[in-house]
Amino acid sequence: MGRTALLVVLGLGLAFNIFTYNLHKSNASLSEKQMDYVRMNVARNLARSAVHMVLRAYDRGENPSSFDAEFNNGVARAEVTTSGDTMWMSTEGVYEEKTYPIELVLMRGTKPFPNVNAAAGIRVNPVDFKMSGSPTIDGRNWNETGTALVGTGDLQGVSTMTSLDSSNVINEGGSRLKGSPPVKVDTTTADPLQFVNEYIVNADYTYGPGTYSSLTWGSSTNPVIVVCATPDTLTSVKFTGNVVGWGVLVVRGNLEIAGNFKFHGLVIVYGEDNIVNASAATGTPDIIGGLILAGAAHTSLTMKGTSELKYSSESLEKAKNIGKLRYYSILDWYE
Amino acid sequence: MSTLLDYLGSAIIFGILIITVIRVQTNISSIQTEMRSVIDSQTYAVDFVKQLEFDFNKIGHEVSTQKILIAHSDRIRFRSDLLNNGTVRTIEYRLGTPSDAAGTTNPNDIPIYRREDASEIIQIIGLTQFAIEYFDSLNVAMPAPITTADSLNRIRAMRVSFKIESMEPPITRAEEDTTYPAVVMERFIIPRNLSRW
Repeated sequence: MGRTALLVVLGLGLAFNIFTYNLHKSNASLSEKQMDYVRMNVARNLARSAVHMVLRAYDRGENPSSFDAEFNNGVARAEVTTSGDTMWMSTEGVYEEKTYPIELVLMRGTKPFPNVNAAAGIRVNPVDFKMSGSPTIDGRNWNETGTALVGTGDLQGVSTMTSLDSSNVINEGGSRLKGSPPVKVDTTTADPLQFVNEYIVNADYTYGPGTYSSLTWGSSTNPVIVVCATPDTLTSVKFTGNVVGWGVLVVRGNLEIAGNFKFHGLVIVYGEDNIVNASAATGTPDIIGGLILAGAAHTSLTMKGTSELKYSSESLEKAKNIGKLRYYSILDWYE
Repeated sequence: MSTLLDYLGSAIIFGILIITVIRVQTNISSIQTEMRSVIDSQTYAVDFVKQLEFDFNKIGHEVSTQKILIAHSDRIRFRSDLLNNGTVRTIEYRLGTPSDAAGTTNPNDIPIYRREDASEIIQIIGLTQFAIEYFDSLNVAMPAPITTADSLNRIRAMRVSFKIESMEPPITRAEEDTTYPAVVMERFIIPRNLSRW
């Protein structure tokens, strides 16, 4: 009897253990299925994050050909090749044993960049234009450093809105104006109000009224956006000695450049509904790229000393490709 | 006499023990069956959502013409090079009727058909609800059905929601209590090729 009872109890114990094992096994199977999906999702998010990490690196001017980062207990990888404005990217997210690949092709575009139609594009009617000394405005196409002519792609030296202004500019400038032709009426000069906000919100450097010297803004391979604003027509922003920059310089209000100021790229001086003054004064301040001047009637452009304003498509092209001004369009995406 | 009482007591205790064991076994079996139903529902749901994501993420891949052909709340037809091998196929999802899934005990489940070019498969997975919402580039919902080519070209994202129930009810005490364990899932999918040139 005792042995029988013992056998019955052992048998029952074995049966309950089998039931419990099966229940646990069912639970584990369900959990594993769910976790497998979770792992796939995390790997996918890592692969997509890799895309963004690469694009942000390009925006910072880093141009990586490969990328590998540990993130969120996984790995995000990318391989990139570019040809012109087309970018081929393969990314992979790895989380535990799950791998998620993505293949994509992107086209890099540039947010609207104004059409520069002259070394000095004047969108003012009428403009107060003055030249004294030996300054030059040259619409011939110079290289990025302003040291050699490219030979092709020349533009007019100065573009004006009316034939009256064109005559006045020719009379004032004479042989100090060069280009193809030196002066021309061109009403298509870009209106800064259409695009300047993009530069203002993406500014790398900002300045208020005052006099500044010994500054370096960006470089040939890393152009930047500089934004200056004066609150009224009585104050101005003045850049004097040892100021060098590449990219886009936006001035809302009055600008004075002097000393050995040298800027490679696009300079925009504008007033929303007021008169502004752009002047290149003493010393040898140079702009190599292009100038757009816009404002109310009698907005002025004054050039003195030996200042030079040279058109350069190479400088403008680099300014156009500032990382912050690029956007990416999807040509193809496979995941 | 005392021996007889011992045997009688043993028999009663043994009987009680057996009845208890039988009841425990019945409960465990019931729980196992219900768990099996839940596991099956969740397994089908996970596999189905993986399938949908695989297909929908590739909508418009390598397609230069109309990418989405039909966009209803319960039906979608689109074109894509699913396998990235240069062959563009037409894929369609549409719902059947409960009578198409008459082989299951659940009276509410409906099959979903997946057609790839001329080949169609029927998937009976306990699906009782299935809906697709479409969104444009501003994330504004577009009322379905979307019929014009211009509107179809404005689709940039979709929200797929579905409910999967077990096809067989777990064993319960009451015959009229037919509760089907269910799983509800929702996915917001943005096919990247819909926003490409």
